[in-house]
Amino acid sequence: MVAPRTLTSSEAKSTLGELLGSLAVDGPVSITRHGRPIALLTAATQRTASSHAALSTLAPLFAAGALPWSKVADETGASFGDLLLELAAQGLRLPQVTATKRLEQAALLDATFAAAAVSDASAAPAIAATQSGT
Amino acid sequence: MTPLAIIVTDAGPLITLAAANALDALLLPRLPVIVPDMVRYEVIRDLSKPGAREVADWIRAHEPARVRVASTVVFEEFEVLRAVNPQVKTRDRGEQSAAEVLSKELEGRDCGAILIFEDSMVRKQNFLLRLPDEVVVTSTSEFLFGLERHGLLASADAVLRRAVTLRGNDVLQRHVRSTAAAADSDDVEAWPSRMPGSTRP
Repeated sequence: MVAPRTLTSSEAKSTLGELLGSLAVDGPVSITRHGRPIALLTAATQRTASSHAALSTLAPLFAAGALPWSKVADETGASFGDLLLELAAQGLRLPQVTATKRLEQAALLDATFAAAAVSDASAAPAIAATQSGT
Repeated sequence: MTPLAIIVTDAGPLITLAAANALDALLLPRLPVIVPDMVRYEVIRDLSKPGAREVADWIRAHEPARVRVASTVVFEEFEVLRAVNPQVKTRDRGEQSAAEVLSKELEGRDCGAILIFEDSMVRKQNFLLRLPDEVVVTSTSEFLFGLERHGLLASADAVLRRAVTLRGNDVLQRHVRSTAAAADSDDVEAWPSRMPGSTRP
């Protein structure tokens, strides 16, 4: 990895406009005061590229069920839509997890679906219609 | 049968269904869908993200008859924090707001709820077994397969596959195209080439 360029705080102050414009081309700049580093200036696009690289690495772990979505979000700052795109790009599937529940809860969920199926027979074609194109 | 509501606990189920063009799968007869305001914020804070616009439009189209956005103290507090620090993270607040909504729904009423979580988030929910019998936790995929078993959905697997397939997927394709267009518009040559400390000529 190439070490960042180094400027004093005075140099950075006097050339700030050009400095900001150069970040995406020449990389981050370490700013020093009295010979000690006090800040690292980085282009937003580079941070985005870094986040995308992290998303690319973590997406397979998410798909395999080894990493929850909240951890992926914390590490990458990505939205769930970004993650879906990454899964698509890598040809990965969404994880499938069945929630833990007691018998009574499982029965209630099943009864809810059954009641929905009975009470509105017209619901099935309406929902199935959204699947066109598969 | 105990009256129920569907409570969406995070952005994952909504974005997944939006990407698969299947948000209407949540609309079951006599089951209102409740989206906590914190969860809605998480979804629509950046409408350029895949699925965000579709969810916003879907909520608007079905509110208030079939979809309700529930106000929470969690979101109020988040708004206060965001006014002080715009970078404040939404971390876990979606689920906290869903818990608040659930508590209000159950308060003094004989009713229940179906909580829908994004699949990977179901695993960490240790409190689930302590929930009353009238409250059921499910995941996006489990919900879809339940619909399929009862003839309410043609194919759960097709929905889940479509959410992560670019080919023929307008929602994801639109985002890919806009990202590509933004990259093309970057004018690298316009940037200064000589800077203090620069190695470029």
